[in-house]
Amino acid sequence: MIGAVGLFAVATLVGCGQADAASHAIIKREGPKVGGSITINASPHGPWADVFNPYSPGENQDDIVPDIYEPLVQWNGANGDAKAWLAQSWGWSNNNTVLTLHLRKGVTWSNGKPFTSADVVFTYDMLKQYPAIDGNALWTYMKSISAEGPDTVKVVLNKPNSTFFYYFSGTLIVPEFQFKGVNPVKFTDSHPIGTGPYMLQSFNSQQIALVRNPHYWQAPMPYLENVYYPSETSNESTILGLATGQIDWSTIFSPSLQTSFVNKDPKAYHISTESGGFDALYLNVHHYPLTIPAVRQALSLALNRQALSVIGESGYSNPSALNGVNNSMVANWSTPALQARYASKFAPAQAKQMLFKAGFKMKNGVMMTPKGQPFTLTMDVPAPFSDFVTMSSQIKQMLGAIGIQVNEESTSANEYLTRLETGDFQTGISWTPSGPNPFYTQNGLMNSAYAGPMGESASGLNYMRFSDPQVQTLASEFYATENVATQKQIIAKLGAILATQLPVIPLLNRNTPIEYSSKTIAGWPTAANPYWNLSADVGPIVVLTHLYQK
Amino acid sequence: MYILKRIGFYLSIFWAAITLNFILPRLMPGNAASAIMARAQGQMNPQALKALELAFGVNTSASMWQQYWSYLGNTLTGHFGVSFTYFPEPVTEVIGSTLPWTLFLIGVATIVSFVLGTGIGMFAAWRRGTAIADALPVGFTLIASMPYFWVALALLYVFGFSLGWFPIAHSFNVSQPLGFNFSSLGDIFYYAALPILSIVVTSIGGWTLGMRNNLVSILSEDYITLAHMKGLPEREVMVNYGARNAMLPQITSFAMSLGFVVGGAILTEIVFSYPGIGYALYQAVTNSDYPLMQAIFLIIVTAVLLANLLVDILYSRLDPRVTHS
Repeated sequence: MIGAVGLFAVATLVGCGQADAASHAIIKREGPKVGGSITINASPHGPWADVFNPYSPGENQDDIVPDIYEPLVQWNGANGDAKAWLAQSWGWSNNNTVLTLHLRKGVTWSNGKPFTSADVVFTYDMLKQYPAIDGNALWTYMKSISAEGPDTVKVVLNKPNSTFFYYFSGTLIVPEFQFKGVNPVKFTDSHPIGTGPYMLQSFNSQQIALVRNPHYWQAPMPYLENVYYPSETSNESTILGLATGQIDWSTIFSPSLQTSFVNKDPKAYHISTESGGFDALYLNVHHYPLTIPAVRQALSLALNRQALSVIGESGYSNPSALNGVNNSMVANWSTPALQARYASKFAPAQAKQMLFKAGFKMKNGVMMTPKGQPFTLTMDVPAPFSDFVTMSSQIKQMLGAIGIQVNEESTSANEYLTRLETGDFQTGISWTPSGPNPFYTQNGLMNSAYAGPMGESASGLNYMRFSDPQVQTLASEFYATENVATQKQIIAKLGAILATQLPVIPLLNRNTPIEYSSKTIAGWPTAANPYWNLSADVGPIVVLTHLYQK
Repeated sequence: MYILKRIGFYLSIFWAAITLNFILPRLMPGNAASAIMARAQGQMNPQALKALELAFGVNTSASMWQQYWSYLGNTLTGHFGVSFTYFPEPVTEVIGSTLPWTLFLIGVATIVSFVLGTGIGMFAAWRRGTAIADALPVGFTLIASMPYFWVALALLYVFGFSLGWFPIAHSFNVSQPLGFNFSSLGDIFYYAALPILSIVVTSIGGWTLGMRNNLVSILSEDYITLAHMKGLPEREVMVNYGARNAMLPQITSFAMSLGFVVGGAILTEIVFSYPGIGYALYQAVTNSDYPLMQAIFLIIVTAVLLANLLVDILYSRLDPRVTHS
């Protein structure tokens, strides 16, 4: 029974690989030649550091390292699909506690040495030895990992956990012969050797150049000979680079991309979006009167999400539903009926009625709590994030319209996040956790395992320290099953809790704009052939390996 | 004796500055690990916070005093540690790759605006009363009063983007490696032209006005009248009697601003994507990157204090009245 379920899960996941073979065939018939180059600035990070170690703390080189090192599975952020990569197939057994992976044969490192299960086992054992680089806390789930032959790896978990595979399989595999005996926290790895489509050609603090790996396992891909990564210090300089054609691909937010980018060459310049979680208004549920669920629901009714989307996010991020299901995931994980039931509404009159029913009174245009105090809230605003700054001031106005006074406190990004983490806030806008399905968002927000004591950093995004025993039960049920139908039911129940309790108020589906140019480069995913999402910074090599010079 | 007293004074200021340098960053809430999580904007697993804190070694149990003494020791022996923003690049490497660009860019810009500004100021005072000579200081002061980043962005947009006469980013042509040859040198100046222009245009007003006003007030002195009466040509009076005295305050201001060159012009570096130390400092501050912040502040403090000391010595040579007071 369990084996069949495991196979079913495998079939759904591997099925995506077969769809890709079809689009491979389309590209092959057009016969792209090898050559040409692309210039990418996924987002401005400032000058580059000569560090290519994928486990180095910080994210200075996170855009580039995935071109050189590869994971076992690639995950499509747009719809949560998985694509077999260095692992060709996998399956669960023994009550979902044993994961067996069959690695792809014929893969070599860029110096010609063969890629084997020893490298995979070494990489994960390295994370165990150095918890400072185990950013996904994999070893809290894992008991052991071992090689069962040159292309088979066996992982044993402490207990079944259906969210483990996502975090586990996205880890980049490094070669044992290079990382053995070094401290991976401090190792700079200036001469990286990976299995990926590109190798390091030259380093300069202002530009990193990569060159095609001729031994890549997906021959004849990649087609582009060089990939250039110039360093940029601000969104404005990246936009100017895009508009002058010096940069071909980016993933940055800018208020008016139509005028500053697309209109400069409408035939070649395109915009797409990458979705991931939500922009949400976090509420400290331990602070009176936010302790009352009806008050939180009333706040949600008072917000005009359409205005927030248009003015705050220039229309890229659209209004979201309240149940934690991003609209890119509705097709696979929810139903239109459910989404309609938990849709967000803008109804300030109804909001006022709800507050009156909860014992609030309006006095001289100021909403008074049942305790007789004026209803005021403090909102933390991170000064560098211009979209949050705009949305915060709009929310202040919208709540002011129903008599709630909001005081904004503008701080640095670092201080704003620290306040959220330690629970030292009343309200504040932030992003939410996300993953291949809505459970990662719902569970990440409401599970008390992601909270921690007030005053210390939260271990996850449950900043408001929300706890509900129903959530804990549903979460353990989800962890224990790989059955998609069961998971969908649990997601529906968690969605109901999120939409009625509203410990955070989901505002907008968080869509980051993506800019790309087809002036000299073809092979992009299109509406007719959406083989992958277009993000330049998360899993870009799926698209990058398909691109070719026109 | 005078110089020894000044040196002693500066050493005590230096000690106070590096102590403040230690205290102030630690008063800011948040640490390097949460700064990186904030920058990632939700793309990193929230569990990574603990791992990052382990990697950076923040949240240690050492007391403030212990940390202070090891900080003092490290500072005076040159052990600046590893930067958190560019982990695990040593701080000295980060500074080594950014400081030369800043010294070049801001140094050249300061010298050019000083020379041009003083020259224009002299001209404005000499020919005061005529239309051009009166309009020049006013015009440049007007530009200087505009916000710097606006002027820089306007120059970048017009000359770099619309007209395409100058490059829009970086400090040299990144597809050709730098070498000790003329084409590299030409490249460096070509890429620095627009940033230097933006700084010169906005700061020349200050020099011009200062020089003009000094010179105008000196021209009413008795020894100028005497020089005229002696029958010396106008040019000789202007340069040898007038400008030489008017230059004294200008030179002290110039020496002071040379000290501030190492602070970098952060706005210039952001607008033109120029790899200087100002941007590194900005990143260090927003990321709670204590090692990098401390090292850069140390350099700025040393440069400013050295510039002050230089000015004191210089002034005592130029104007002997100071040492006898």
